[in-house]
Amino acid sequence: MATAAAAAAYPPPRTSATDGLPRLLNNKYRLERRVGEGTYGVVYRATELASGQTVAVKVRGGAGRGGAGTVGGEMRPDDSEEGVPSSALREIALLLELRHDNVVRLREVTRDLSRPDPAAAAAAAAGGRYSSGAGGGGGGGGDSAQLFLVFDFVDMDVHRLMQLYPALGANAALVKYLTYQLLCGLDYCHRRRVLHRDLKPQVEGGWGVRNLLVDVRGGGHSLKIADFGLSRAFGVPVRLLSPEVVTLWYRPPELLLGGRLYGSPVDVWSAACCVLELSNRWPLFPGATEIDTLLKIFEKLGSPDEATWPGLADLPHWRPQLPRYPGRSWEEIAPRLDPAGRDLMRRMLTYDPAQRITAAAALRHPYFADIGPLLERPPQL
Amino acid sequence: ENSHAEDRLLGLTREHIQQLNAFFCTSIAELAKQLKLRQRVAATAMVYFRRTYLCNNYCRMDPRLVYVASLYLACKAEESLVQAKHLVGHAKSYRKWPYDVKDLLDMEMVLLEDLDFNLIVFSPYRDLVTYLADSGVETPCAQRAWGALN
Repeated sequence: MATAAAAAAYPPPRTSATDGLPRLLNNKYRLERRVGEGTYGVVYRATELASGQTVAVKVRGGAGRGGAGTVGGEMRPDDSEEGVPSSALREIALLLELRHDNVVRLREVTRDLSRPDPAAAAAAAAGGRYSSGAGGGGGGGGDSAQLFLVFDFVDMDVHRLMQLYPALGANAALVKYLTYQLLCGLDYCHRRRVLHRDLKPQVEGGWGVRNLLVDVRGGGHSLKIADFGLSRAFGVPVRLLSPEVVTLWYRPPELLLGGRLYGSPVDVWSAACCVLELSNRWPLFPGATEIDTLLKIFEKLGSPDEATWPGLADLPHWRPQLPRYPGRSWEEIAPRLDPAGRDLMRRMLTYDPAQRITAAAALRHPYFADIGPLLERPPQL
Repeated sequence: ENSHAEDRLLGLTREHIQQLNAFFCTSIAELAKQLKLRQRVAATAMVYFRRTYLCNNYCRMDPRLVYVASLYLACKAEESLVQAKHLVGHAKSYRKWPYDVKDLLDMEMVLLEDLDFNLIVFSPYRDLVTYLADSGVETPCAQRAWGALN
């Protein structure tokens, strides 16, 4: 989620700050300004009138008309005719199950109560919820399918923190502290069988919803994972429908190679990419295309083979004629981390997902042996 | 047993209500089969249907609409997308069905609120597959197990 300042730097949004949406939502929240746009849905900063607290309101689905329903001028595919988008349903259902200090809290799901209630409309027409087919007017499928997700508002994100404090990566204690929280949040999600599938500090194209938020209030840097638009519940292992999930730079090799069966190791890979980006101040594998990302991975970590990654040959996109690299040393890949940190990164960036360290095991890694004092006294910038 | 108070007033007995439940769950299964949906989608839809009528009366919400909407919602939650139009077409051919896409979408929203957005249902299908493979039981026994689960 970008802040006001960051939002101002982007191309000016459409006519009004709230795009024809009600400025007052259900007489409970006042929408103030548009702060970001995710893969699915626009985010507004808003104030809860009763408490004066700042919240983030994410609008999902339904808005076929008006600017809010379009991303970059295109209509989203799963709009109007299909009710609430299935991605929104999954995000809501999953978020409701998650309650953790390192996961952004979903306070409420609501719809615009000033629009005709579909149930009431039907009830009025036929006495009870038996619809007569003719139905009560208003509230067409499109608009009534709009949902508002109200989150705690967190105004800082990892990416912006890196821009504001260039020396962040050199602050080993803070990097460790943030890494620990990221893994805590991830471990919690994985234990609740939720895959995030889209961890990233960056946003391609600059205009988007950042999903690693940092709450700087009270002096602590409390990290929160957000934007579960691509996440899904999984039984282990998962049969996957589309390998096209994680943003390119943070996409693990098993997905880049077209694997269709994957699970929680996907998030661990992305998390390691985020941590190293934080530490190095530069994205780890900034590939322009899938193959480019893959080659950048090979170039840094060394090309995998059947010995380091059993089952490699069965992945659909694997070609033995891909260039072979020896890889670089970990001192070069993670110059600012201590040896324990490098070892953790090496385990998190293991090619074979089956051998990759889990979030739970990563939390017990020697890198975090001295985390106790840091948790009690969060490191400062 | 406060649920279905209104239904009882209108003369539905407990047996009637159970029969309605069973009938529409079967309908869900059959419609899902027609659409070639996975078993677990149907199972999830049945859970939604039953949950919905835990807090609603049959005389207030038309189960004919609710069962199709449950299936529609389950498709979304289980990532087996089916177009609303397509589903409505099948519902109409499966049985006389007086509703259209708009009703379906409205009902979807009603269901979402009644279910409180709790859409995740854990079905033991995958576990049963693994368990049967591990236990190495013979086919008739495995089929009995599947029958019990369904």
